[in-house]
Amino acid sequence: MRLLDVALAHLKLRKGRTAFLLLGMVLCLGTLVSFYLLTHSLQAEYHRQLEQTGIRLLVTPEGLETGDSYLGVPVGSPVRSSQVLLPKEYFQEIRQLEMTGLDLVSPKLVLASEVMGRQVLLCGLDLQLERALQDWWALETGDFPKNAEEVIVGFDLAGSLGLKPGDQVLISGKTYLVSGILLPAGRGEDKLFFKDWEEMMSLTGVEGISLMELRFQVPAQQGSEDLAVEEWISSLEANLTGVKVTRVIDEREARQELLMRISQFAGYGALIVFLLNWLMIAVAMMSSVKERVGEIGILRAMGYRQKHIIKIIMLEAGMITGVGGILGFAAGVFLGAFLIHLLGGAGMNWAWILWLFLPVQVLSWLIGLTAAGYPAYKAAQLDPVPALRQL
Amino acid sequence: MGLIKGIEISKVYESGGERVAVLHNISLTVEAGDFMALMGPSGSGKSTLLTILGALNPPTQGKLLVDGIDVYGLKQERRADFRSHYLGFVFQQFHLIPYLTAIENVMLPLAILPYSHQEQREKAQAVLEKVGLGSKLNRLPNQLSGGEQERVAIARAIVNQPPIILADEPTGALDTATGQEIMELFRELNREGLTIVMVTHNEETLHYVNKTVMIKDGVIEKILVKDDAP
Ligand SMILES: Nc1ncnc2c1ncn2[C@@H]1O[C@H](COP(=O)(O)OP(=O)(O)OP(=O)(O)O)[C@@H](O)[C@H]1O
Ligand SMILES: [Mg+2]
Repeated sequence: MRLLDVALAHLKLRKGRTAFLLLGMVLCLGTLVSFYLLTHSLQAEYHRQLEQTGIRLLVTPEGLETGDSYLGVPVGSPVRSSQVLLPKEYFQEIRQLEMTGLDLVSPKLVLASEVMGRQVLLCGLDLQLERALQDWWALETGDFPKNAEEVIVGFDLAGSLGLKPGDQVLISGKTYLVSGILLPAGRGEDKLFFKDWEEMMSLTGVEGISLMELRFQVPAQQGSEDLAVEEWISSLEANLTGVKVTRVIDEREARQELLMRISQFAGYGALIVFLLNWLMIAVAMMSSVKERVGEIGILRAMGYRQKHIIKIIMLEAGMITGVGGILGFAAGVFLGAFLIHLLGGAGMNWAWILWLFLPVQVLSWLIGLTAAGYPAYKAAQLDPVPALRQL
Repeated sequence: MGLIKGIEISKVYESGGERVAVLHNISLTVEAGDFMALMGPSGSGKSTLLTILGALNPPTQGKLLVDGIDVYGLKQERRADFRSHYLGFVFQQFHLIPYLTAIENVMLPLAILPYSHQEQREKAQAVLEKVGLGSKLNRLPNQLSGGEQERVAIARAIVNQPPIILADEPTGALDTATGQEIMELFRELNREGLTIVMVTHNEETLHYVNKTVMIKDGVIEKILVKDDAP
């Protein structure tokens, strides 16, 4: 017979209550662990995707009116003579800023022009750079241009003008060869002509940049992306006058990020469950002490010290939270694995889960310790004489 | 020399701002080997005196010496240790822990002492056999009769071999025949050397004791001593 056996016997007596408290622990730690795992896994997946695509920023002139847009970003109204452009020197200057992680800068100049009797948009860019940036860029037919005398045409525009690879097209008085037609992207670029940036500037005499796309390598530290982006943006805006910098987030990234935030948020929800669970255990232990006043009186009369009474109450709570901690952890891992599978996070990292085991156990012991602390103290403080009279 | 010496003990309870003086300047000596009864009308302070003798209830004034130890001079936790070694309590309502078996109830006083599980079991089984319950070790209290429960409570009180047993109306909840059996058991224990102080209402139980202390309104009215306790 140890004090542990006394606590255990009482737990067995109150099977329903014990099961209820255990369930609370499993729910509490289960949600906490599963959402923690899910958030971590989604973050890892998000990071992995960013490692592939890089983080992209868009540099545009400040204070644009709404007008035409490229990839959904306003580039002003190229039709007007008052079109706002960035100086073409910025292309060089950005690279001289020596920003950490910057690995690609692609300038674009978007101008309106009349081609085959139609008002169309021309986009001048460095095809080499642009293809590196948009690695999903692909052609429906034909080839990418071999030199500045060749152009590629957006899918919709090629359709409406009846252009195909090998055709000649007259732009601003100069004849170009259509080398290829882009695959439809369902976006703005389906309606554009693409030609060499430098060549376009010398052809039209308009010098400058409508927008520049920058690609950065994602910082190695997971979760520090937002901070890095903030730094890049403020550094760019400080060093280049008259620019506005925004981050480009494609749909897949946006979805991933949203999931991540929801999961994080759910984690906070689990904290509320956690508090409720703590309260439940505290209340249960308090009422357990109240209904056992006489019993505590008997034990004290028998020579039990206050610390023995504390030990019995603590052991009782400790067994619930200890066992609950293990069951809750297991439930959390299973639920987490299921959610990760469902929502497409990165695979579970088992070493990491093992690492998580100890903190969760410590946490559950802490729940027991703090929730039962006051009831145990109260029990120990009971005066045995009135306690015995209660019987 | 007296095993238990109460010296000028007074007790005042304070409840809700009201002071109730329950015991007035009581001095009482219990010799080793005594079987003493405390008698008196309801509310006269018998139970209060017993809990004071039992190191549970500090008197408002006065002193308690047991085996030369100034009991209420001890710190709380040391006083608990004192109870563990010197005293066994038996109460009217038996006071068994309902979710522990008979033998587990008897093992309780040993659970805080450095005995192995095996030693605890052997000691508990021995005293249960002594009180005639050797065949009902693993019954829960509610599977035992009142007399049997009282025997378990007695076994629990003596398992740690204390020199003193304090009993508050041990036969109060039992029928006459069963009460007599319990008194026989107490007499046997007393003859083996245990000192027993018992609160009782029952005149018949006085047949078993060698001293009777009559209490009324918190003072000792008289003490009857039998030289030839049967
Ligand atoms: N904690 C307390 N607070 C206030 N008054 C108390 C307290 N405990 C006991 N009393 C009062 O002290 C008096 C003596 O009580 P006690 O229990 O010692 O009497 P008793 O002789 O054992 O009576 P009974 O024969 O009915 O058991 C009673 O009037 C009781 O109401
Ligand atoms: Mg009484």
